[in-house]
Amino acid sequence: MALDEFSFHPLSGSRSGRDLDYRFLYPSFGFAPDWDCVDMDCEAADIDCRFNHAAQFSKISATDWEFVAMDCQTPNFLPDDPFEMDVSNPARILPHDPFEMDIQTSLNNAISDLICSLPNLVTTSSSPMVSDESAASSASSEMEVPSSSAPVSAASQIPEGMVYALGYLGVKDLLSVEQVCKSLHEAVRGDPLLWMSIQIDSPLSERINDETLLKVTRKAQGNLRALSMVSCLYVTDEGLRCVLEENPLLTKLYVPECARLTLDGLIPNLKSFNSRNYPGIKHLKLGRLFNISESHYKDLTALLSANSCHPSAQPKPRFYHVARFSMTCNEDRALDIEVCPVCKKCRLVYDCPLESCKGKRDPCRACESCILRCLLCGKCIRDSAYVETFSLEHLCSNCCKCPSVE
Amino acid sequence: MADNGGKKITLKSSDGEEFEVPEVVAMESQTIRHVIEDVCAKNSIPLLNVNSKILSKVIEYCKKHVAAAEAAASKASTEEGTAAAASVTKPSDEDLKTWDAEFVKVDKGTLFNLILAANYLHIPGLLDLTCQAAADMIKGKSAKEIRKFFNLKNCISPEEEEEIRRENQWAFEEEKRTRAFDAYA
Repeated sequence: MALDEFSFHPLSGSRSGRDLDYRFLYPSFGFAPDWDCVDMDCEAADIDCRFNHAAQFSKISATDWEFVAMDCQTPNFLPDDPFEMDVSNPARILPHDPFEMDIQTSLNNAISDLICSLPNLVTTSSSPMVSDESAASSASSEMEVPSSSAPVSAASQIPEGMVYALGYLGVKDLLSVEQVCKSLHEAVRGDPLLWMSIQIDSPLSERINDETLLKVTRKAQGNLRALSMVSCLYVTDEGLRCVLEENPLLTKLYVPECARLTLDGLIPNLKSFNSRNYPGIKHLKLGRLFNISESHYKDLTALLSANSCHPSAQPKPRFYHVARFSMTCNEDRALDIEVCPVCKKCRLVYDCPLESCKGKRDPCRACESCILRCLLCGKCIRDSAYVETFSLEHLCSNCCKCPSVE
Repeated sequence: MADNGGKKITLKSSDGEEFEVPEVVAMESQTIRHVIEDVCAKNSIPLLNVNSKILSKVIEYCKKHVAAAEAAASKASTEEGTAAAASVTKPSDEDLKTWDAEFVKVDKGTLFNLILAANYLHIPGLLDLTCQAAADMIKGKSAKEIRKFFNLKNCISPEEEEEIRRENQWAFEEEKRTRAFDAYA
């Protein structure tokens, strides 16, 4: 029985140069001339065979390998169409419209009337939602997409709702998803809006460097609006400069704990970026690592206040807590650094959530060196008992009783 | 709004089942709100893209959230001072979150259908909830695990797959290749 269009990756005992090429010898069957690929990254017992056109058996087994066909059909020994009735297309056997009611057209019209009576459902938010509910695999959204890339040849096998969930995934998960199958690959690659806001934190932050940072930001195809890099130890000023150059629409830049960035590199980069005819950086977060002098602080505030949309708005209070470096935390502020009222240095300054501290004439506002705060609740622990954790943070007596420590 | 408190709307699913719901619950859907407000109020609204199973879940969500919003509003108006109101609404926020978390504990097929329904009916809260739940199913999984979990076939050619893998190698450096081929080394 010859195998017609039998899709199966060759296996062999020999290795080719590029990747592991296994040739599977099974002499009683012929081999299809072109091999398709299967999942190479799988366990021995687990390799999937895919059959394009009905394999003629359900199991092939040989020397330790057993392959079970995924969607094969039972052997078909009978002739296809002995009476020449063209049974492959049964619709043609029956008359098309025997009573001349023109059903298909009238039904289509009724449905389209109803849908047209509903207002336009195009969303204008930045999430990758598609308003056409019949688009099974199209992942392109309504605004600013350079090219729509709905898969044409590959049958859409992904669940329809899955593309909507892609906008809720982080960078690493999107990179995993794009390797799953063709439809998802095109859904991720074809939608720059998925990459409008990029957040790099652990574990990617420990591996990303200038080159890979540029690769990731390029996926936005120039639409990058917000970039957050927490503890990206291998990103340099030059790398960041390249990103700024390629992404003129960037307005939020967060770089806390990026040890290789320097203010002497960052400030000129930002000045150059903001001087062009772009919206410019409006929100900058530096974190606690930079040693900011007064002149640096003046430069930064001048740079950002020039771009500020709400210069007089009262910012929300900043509290000390575990997620204080997250992207959405205190994103209304132009700059996270302030002058500490106690030591007068340029640092991150925190307010106090403690009720008794709120109404005081001398507000409980200072940097973390001047006022110790609890890591979990952010309250000051000047007079009360506290516990010092292994990472030299502090927990107040209430919080250290909770099981969810650190 | 108080006048329409008792007004009911009938929603008809794609498979012909009818659901009578208070108008305020149906209006959680922006789509239905538009039909009622702009296209002249209809007593029965056919929803051709939503079947009865999914529609009943959607209605359950809308009912719960409308009730929660009404409860919070009435508590806030009776309590004096924002501090007291804040301390009262917090537990009900938590309750609603717990309820939401239980609501999305459904099989994958139902979850994806809920996403599509929430998009079609334009219910932002439900769309956000269901998309987040679907994303949580994907998070942390490798490509192979995602394939297995959703029963997807890999139709990427080996050349393309190798190219993507090389491009993204930096992100997955520490993950080992399987030993399937090492057996033949």
